[in-house]
Amino acid sequence: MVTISELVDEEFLLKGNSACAGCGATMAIRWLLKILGKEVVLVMPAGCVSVFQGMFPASAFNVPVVDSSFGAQSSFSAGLAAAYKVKGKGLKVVTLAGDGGTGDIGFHAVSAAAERGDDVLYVCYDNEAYMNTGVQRSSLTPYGAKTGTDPKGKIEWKKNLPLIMAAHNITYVATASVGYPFDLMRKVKKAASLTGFRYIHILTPCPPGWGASENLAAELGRLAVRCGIFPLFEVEKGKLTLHKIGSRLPVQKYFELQRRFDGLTEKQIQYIQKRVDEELRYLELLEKATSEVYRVE
Amino acid sequence: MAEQIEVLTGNAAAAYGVKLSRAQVIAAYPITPQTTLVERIAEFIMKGELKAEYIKVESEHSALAACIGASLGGARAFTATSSQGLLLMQEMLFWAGYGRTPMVMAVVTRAIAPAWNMWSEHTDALAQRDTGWIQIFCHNNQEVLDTIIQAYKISEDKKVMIPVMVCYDGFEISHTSENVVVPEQSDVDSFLPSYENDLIDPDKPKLLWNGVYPEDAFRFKAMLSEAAHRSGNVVNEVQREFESKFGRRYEAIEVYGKPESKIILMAMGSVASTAKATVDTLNREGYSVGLIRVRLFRPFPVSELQKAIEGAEALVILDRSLSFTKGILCTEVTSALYSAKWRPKILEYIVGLGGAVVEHRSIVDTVKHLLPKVPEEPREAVWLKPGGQG
Amino acid sequence: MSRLLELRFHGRGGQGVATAAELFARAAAYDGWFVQSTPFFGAERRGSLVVAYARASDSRIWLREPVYNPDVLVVFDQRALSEGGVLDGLKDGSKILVNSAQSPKDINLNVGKAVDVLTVDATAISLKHLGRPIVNTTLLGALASIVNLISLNSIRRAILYRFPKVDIEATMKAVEEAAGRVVGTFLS
Repeated sequence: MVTISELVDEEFLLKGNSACAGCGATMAIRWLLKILGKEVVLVMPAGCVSVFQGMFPASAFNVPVVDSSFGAQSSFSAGLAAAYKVKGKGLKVVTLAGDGGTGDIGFHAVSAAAERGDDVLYVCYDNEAYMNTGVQRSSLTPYGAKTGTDPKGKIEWKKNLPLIMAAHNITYVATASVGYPFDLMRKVKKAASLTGFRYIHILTPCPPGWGASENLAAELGRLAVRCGIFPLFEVEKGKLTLHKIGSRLPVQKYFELQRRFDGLTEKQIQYIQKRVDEELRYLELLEKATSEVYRVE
Repeated sequence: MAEQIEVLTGNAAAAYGVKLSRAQVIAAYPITPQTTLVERIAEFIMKGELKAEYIKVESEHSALAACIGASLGGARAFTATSSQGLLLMQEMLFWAGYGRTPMVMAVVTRAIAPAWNMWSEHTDALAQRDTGWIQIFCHNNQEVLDTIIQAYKISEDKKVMIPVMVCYDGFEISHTSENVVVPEQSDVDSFLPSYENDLIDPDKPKLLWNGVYPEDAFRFKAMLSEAAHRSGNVVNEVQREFESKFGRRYEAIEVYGKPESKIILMAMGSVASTAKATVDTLNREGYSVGLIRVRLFRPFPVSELQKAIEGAEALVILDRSLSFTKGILCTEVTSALYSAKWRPKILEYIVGLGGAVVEHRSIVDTVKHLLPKVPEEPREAVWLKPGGQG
Repeated sequence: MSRLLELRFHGRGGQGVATAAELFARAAAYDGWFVQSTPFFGAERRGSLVVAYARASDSRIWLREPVYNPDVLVVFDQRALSEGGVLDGLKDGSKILVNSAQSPKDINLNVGKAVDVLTVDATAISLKHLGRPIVNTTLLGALASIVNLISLNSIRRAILYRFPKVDIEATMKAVEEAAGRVVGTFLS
């Protein structure tokens, strides 16, 4: 449990960065750094964050940051973690990458890092497309969402990266949303207290990319959870714990606020509602099954 | 100084070099003909003879990326690869070169596909000459071991901070056993101090490698070029220091045989080894010929080369590489000699591509043909097929 | 004028041909020679035949190519003699050592050069001392008596280095017996 009184005043993500107005990623990063503190090294590939952190000689971060090429971030972190291990001391290694860098071009390296159990905290900030380069689809773009490369809306379903990472049997997996900051911070604190490979997947709404009003990042973050579209769960030692917050809302409520979902037909909305229901049911069963198989000490 | 006298393959010699250098992080992906190198390192680690973390990466791109991370974390990093693997990590080669992360990589040279070919030529390593790495070519197993140790000292020198590629031929060197003297660990320790990197510091947080505007970019490239120029001097300094401590001499340009001869052979790597045998045979049979072995390819030792060729009528360049229409060594030498006061004729011979045997007899015959009257320039490259002149 | 001895080893995969070349080189190094050995080279490999090369010299060896004109040819398997390439490049004075129960004149080699053919029944000797037809170490003993370049003591050291867990006494019995049972005329 994290309360507002225990948050440090110090800012590690500074004002004056060039993020878009209302950027969900800045919210997530500001909070997670307040929990982690300054004894970290952030490794980040090309993406929104590597751009809005500033151009030389400015930096928006008050912690050490290493930029990597797109897709190489997990392996940079592997090297850093190995160096600290062999020297017997070092900083917390935190990889911070977007959905494209994690689920697509960097996936081989992320999977390898998880399989090896590198002592790294991996944070994926998911704005559901390649936003830095305009708006192009990634494997984590949701079904029906319009992007520059899927102008009629994506026909494939969103890749379930959190469950894929959980299948690697790593120390800790969690999903979080900027709509629930204290839940997010609790999970970061939990992950930081563990060792091995830990993965946190954060939904970070992108108002310009999603076609939403710039004050709506937090609201969209809440609605995604309340509509069952982005379930909140943790997987620790194989046991999955699902968090349901309030009563479930129909998916339509989520789409109404985003122009990227304009043009969804009635049939498509029904299809989405059906799959969202199924996947939630799947998670419920998974929760039951894993609590039988695995016991958390 | 009680050294160990051993019989080692080139790969085993490299592994000993890595062990003696006390490398701390190894990240490598297997590829023929490098595999016995990384396997020997893994064996050293397993037996406790080398205290290092071995990251089992899933690709060469990740191997070099991990070494970059490790170097930033203050650990001495090592990787090794060949042809396809080297190509796959090329993005990271530039990253380490421009990012100036000290480290050493062994390149066990191998022909590039298609078609699939496991034997040696130099194109894979030479094709990386633009990536900002120091490149050294070894011509026997002793040199491989010694050069890995020197490479760390060169790379980590504060005036340099540039990664180093130690290149040697697959099979002719990597899998061939020879007498090797293995230095004492304590002697290597006093030659090679431990490595530190303080770029990542939470008390003085820095942002490494973010975006840069053109004016700053231009300035940084100038700084990079200055470091690259300085590195040539540091290579020479380290070589001299190594000689005074270990008794073995290494030079950016090695002159062998009769350098006052009118015909001088030029070669790198195992081709230079064969060329030495050629020079010995010719000199013994009463012909006068010399050899210039290029050991340091990047930064290319222009002034040393210009001095070494003075008085020669013709350079017979034995080039084990090809860049489209021309051998890369030949291109480099021609460019280096353009400003020289003394300009010999340059005769280009393409040899050993795809692992084709570089036969000492065929080079002997070639030189004997040239000696009476050296052909005029310009001329096309001669492709020296195994089994006789092209 | 430096002395160079070039050897070529032929056999089939699994007979330890490459190891024999390696052990020869190691033993010669222990006896103070400059050495070189390679498991195989180039693309000329027929069927399951395996070839390895070794060189020993009193000065550093700069050659990096197959042994085209062996001073000594070591043939692990008599049947290999009829395969193409095994007898290539022999010169006057070359010695051919064949693992065979026959005597040299019964082998009937026609190479067109004045070569010395020697045989040793390494298979039988190995079976006797080792219980298995592992001929590569045994053949080293025969080789030692032919080339006058490696000592039995160095052979012993080389085998122990490469195979620390081997029954060295039994192996050396085979080596020593082979050294004394080479059949054929040879120059020392």
